Amino acid sequence: MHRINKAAAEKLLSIWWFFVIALIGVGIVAGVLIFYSADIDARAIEADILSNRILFCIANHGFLNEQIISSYIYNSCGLKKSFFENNGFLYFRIEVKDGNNVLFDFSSDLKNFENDCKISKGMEEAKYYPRCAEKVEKVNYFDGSIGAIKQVEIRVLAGSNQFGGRNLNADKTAG
Amino acid sequence: MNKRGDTIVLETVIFIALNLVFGAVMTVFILNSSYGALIYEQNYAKEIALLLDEAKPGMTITLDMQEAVLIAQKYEFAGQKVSSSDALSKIVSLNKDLNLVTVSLSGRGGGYSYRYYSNYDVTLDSRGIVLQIKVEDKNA
Repeated sequence: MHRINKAAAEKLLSIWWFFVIALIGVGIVAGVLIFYSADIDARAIEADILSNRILFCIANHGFLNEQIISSYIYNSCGLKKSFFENNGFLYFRIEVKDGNNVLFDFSSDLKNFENDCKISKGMEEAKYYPRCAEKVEKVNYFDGSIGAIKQVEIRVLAGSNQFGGRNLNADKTAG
Repeated sequence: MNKRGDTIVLETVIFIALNLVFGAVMTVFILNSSYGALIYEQNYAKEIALLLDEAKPGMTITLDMQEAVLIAQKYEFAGQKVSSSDALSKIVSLNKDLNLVTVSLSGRGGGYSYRYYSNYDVTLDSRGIVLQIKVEDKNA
């Protein structure tokens, strides 16, 4: 039987020792990097802020300003339009109802957000699906056709799918 | 000491030295990571962007960034340490064309960026550890 002498055995153990040390080191580095590179998801808050902002913009002082509910909404409410179209990451939809009648229904371009938000609500893991927030409010509306003020319901749905990141300044495209 | 003794001592010294080098490298790495620059960059970038999203024209927002300044002072920006009086101008930057807020606490890697959708005119100013954000209407 081949025998290893004590010196040779110690040399073999040293190699094994450094291998174990290297493994521990890799484990510590990986763990720390994973912990500190974790993403803080602000999409739900961003969608909530957007829905509030649009709601207060179109229903100022409790009265609906229906003229804003069009493509003028971006200028009127101070929103950057490019983020809501093409390769953008934001979405909103405004619905104004008088009972069952839909008086106004206006949305931005990325209409797939609505379905994607429903999907992300029903799933435990849906990291790359957008997050949405909805606000419903009753406001006054002057109906010119009958010359009277009535109460209508505004529903504002807003969605965000922005992740943020590093070195975005080099990216010249929106969203 | 005989030749065998020399070899044993040399091997032991090399073994201990390599262990010390490994320990030093791990300590430096963990200390650097524990400053939390990566996580604070993301936190502050998103906080500032969301504040801008919520702000209305005529608002002035002040944000205490003491933690960010303390972390940034542990690093070097373009080969120089930052002082508490000029730290914020180096830490926080705004790209008005892309509507991008960038926070860089370690002076390398470009920092973390987050977009704000508000189309108002935004200016940043710093007062020591306090960041002042002014929002005005572009048409005003």
